[in-house]
Amino acid sequence: MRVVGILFLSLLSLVNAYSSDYKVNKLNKLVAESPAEPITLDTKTFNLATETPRNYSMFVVLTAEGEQFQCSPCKAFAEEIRLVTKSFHKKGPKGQAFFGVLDFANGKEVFHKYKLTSVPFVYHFPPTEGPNKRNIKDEFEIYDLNRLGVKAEDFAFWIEKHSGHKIHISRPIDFKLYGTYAIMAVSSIGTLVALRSQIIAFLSEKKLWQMMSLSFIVIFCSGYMWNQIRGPPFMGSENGKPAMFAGGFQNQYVAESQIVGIIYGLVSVWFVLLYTQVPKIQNTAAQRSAAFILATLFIMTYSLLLRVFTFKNGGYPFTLFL
Amino acid sequence: MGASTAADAVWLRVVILVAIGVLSISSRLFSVIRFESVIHEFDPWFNYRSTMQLVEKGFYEFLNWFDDFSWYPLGRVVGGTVYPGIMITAGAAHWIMNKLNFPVDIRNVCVFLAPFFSAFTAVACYLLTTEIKDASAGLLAAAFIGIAPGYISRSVAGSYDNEGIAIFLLMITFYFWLKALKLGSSFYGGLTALFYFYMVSAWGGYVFIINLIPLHAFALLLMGRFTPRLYVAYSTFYVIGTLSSMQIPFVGFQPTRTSEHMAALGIFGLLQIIAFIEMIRSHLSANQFQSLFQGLILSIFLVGFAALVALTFGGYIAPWTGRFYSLWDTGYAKKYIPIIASVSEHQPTAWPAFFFDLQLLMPLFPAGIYFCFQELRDEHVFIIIYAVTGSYFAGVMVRLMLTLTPCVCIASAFAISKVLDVYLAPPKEVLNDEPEEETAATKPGDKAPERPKTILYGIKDFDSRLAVIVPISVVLVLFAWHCTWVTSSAYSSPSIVLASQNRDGSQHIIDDFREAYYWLRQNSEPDDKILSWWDYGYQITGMANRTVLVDNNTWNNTHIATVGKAMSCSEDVSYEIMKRHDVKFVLVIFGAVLGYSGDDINKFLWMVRIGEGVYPNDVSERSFFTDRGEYRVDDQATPTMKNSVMYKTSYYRFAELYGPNGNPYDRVRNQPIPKKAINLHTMDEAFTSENFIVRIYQVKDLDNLGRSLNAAASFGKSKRKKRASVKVAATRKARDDDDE
Repeated sequence: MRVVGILFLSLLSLVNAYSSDYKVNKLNKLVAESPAEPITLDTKTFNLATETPRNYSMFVVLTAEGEQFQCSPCKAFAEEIRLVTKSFHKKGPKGQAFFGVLDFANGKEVFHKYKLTSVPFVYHFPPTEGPNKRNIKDEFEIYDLNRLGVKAEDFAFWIEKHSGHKIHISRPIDFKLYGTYAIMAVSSIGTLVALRSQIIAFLSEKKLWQMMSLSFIVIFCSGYMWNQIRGPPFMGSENGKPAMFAGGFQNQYVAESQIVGIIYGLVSVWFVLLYTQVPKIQNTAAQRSAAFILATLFIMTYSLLLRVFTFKNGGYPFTLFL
Repeated sequence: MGASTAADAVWLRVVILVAIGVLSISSRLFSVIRFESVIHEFDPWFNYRSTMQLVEKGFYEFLNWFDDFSWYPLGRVVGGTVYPGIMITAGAAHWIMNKLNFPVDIRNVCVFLAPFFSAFTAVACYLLTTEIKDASAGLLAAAFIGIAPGYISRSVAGSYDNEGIAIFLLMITFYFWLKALKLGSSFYGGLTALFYFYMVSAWGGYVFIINLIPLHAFALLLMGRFTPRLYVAYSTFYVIGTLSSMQIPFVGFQPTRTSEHMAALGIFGLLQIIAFIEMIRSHLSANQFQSLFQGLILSIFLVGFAALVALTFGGYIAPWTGRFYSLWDTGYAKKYIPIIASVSEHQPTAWPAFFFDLQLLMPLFPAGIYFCFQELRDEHVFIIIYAVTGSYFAGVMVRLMLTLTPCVCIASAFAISKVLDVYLAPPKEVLNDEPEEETAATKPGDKAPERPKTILYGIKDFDSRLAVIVPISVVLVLFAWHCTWVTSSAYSSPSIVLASQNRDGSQHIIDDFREAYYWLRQNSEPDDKILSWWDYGYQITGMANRTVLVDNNTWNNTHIATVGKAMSCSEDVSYEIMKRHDVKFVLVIFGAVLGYSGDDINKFLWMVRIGEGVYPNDVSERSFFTDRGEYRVDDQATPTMKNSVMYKTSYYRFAELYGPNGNPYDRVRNQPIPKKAINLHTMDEAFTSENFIVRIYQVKDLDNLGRSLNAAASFGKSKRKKRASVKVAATRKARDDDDE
């Protein structure tokens, strides 16, 4: 019974599926037409290229470059995949891996089949037969651009891990870019030499360094690096209303960290003014009112900071005035 | 001021400093009073174990110690891969006290080492701030560093870790550096080098010193402040410091071969050239040579830099190592060294953490730096550079808040002390010099009123003094309250012992970890191997005295990835890995019963990620997420998730805890858990602690008939009779649990 079943299955596959060699030939032909470009697929060719059996790796970029989708990562990655394809076909082994691009406009059926709601993704269909055969759980594996990076080098790194093909990405020398750089370098060196004394005078200005250091400290102590690394939204929204402050101790919005930075700066300014300006005032009454005003501003700004912190950390027991 | 008042002032200072020392020690004792004198967390357990080795076997045995209890089957050469400073410090303290006939247990020495060193840190900060301003600012700074939560977080009693002594060493090295620079004294330069050597032996953060001091020297050069004092101080420090740092086995030849140390070497060379040229110029005194010499300096500098680049590319000098490199390129670690990125203290710092750790000092920090710019002597330049670099590093990594904290304390003490000086001292006559001129220049017509020769500078009125001093006192008191509150509520938990409150408000101690480790110690063979995630490696070797596969010294990524794979694959796959590594017990941490969020299911994604990094064909992070990209443990969890060893061992018989009609609920993930029973066929549940936090499974032996254990289990299932009896026993157990 089992033997009959296997026979039946293999008969079926003979009827339905083309052999690997047939497909490799077909794909090689497509590659030969434009070796520097990934193959443009549609539903039919996609199904042909990805059906089993395969003795090659098939990488398919699922994308939507149409204007109506406004998918900027798709466009950014299109350049990179071209680079990967070109680098691979220049040096890599022939007929062992192919790169294709399936645009939503050409392959709506495929997108429906995989229930894809966001692009771009790269699907890798590994070989199911031949020397490079590799078993994975699903039919394909996914390269997640958001997590692993949109650069060609990142993708090549992933390809090497998942298919064993080492791709040396050689970025073409962009003469235009280098030319601009060269002109810029020459002109800036020229300006530097010409304005040498002014620049040195500018750089030895204490106020400049003071401003730079102080703003650097304030910015970095109010969570700037966190914003850089985690990339939070500028502002959140709560029940439809814009929210300045993110809930939770480990979280923050960009706007929020800027507000906190400003509060730090203000507290410091009031404090410094208490030292630098007030003692110089000769009129006793004026001095008294200046001291009172600055001290009030100082303590109120600080209370505001405590208030903001209490909002972040619900259990915080200390507040002042506000 | 008479001689007697000066002497009184000295005594007063000493008394205040001692009081600050006592304060900073006692505020770190919350955990000892609340729990007991116990070593905390993870890394301290390794330090404690090595200290025991040092005390029992002696120094040379310790240096040659090969630890076969960790990294089975690789083992670890401890002597050559550890910063021995803290162990030697504790060992020496123990030895001295025993010689003086104070028979103190080594564990107590270890527990109380960090609090005592915090008192020394306060003194070091006092000395350093005295160099910046004066003794009153110094006392303020000492008080601040004594209670600042940013430092307490790493130095409570029981947290026996490198940072506990390293911050003292950092501050005292900086103090001696400033002293050497001020006096041009090679004696103080030598002391700087000596404490730098101590720092190198104690903490990897010594790299901060060996880059900050050259940066300071370079800034002084750019400001045109080259002096023979700088030359003497820096040369003494660099030569002695580097040579002595190379004596630490773990550091070895790194000071000559890695990029982290090259800045110091470069500045050393630059100083020699400048000193040489200065000397020649003083002999020749010919102006026409100046431009020539400038060209010479520039070209030598460029040649040196080019040589450095060439040597780096040639492989003679190692480029920045991953850990340090990830401080500059913050995306680097996440992609290439997930092990570093996975540690929670390596995450970037959000602003509430800054404020939580420094409170009042944080908004006054910029003011202090402003005052530094106003005076801008050499030591102020140092504080400015320290502040700028320190804030960058603290922003990138939570744990580096620690290095920023002393600087913030010093700067804000500087600011507060300056303002207090003005508002406490009587007004004084000063010459009326520059400030009036600006207004005169802008309004030339109003020059008529003649300017008095002197003006009264200062606060003339009592109530305006009060108006400023009262708010400052209020915020200072609030700061002290804040520090006590933070220390008591956030930083005094030993994390191996947890506390909760009973309904009547009394304290209930949750001691699952020690319970489980002690069970292992009593119920397993001495050469059994334990598989667990690396976080618990040090604790298992320290408390259960058993061999582990991986531990907190994360030097071998592949081995950790193997454990990650064993945890994230199906039972059959990981059984093979376990058998290959002689694993007898599997230990997982599970917090769903109690709501303990630091458990293994929450860390699981990192195991997967690290496992995928090495075994991309067997582990795939994506298959642990549902189609909608969620990380779930309820009935919508992906099949891969449900079949993983981690999931199975965590939730095995979890549903039974809630009885036949209950709804099992995960209190950490806030998700209901399916009631379907989980079958384990490659291991048996050996032990589960009181609150289910630690679960230990014994790996089964190979099947007698050579079948896979899966096949053996499904064969066994057909014996209905046996199965039924097991079930009865199980429900009885569950009922017992419910009664409790």
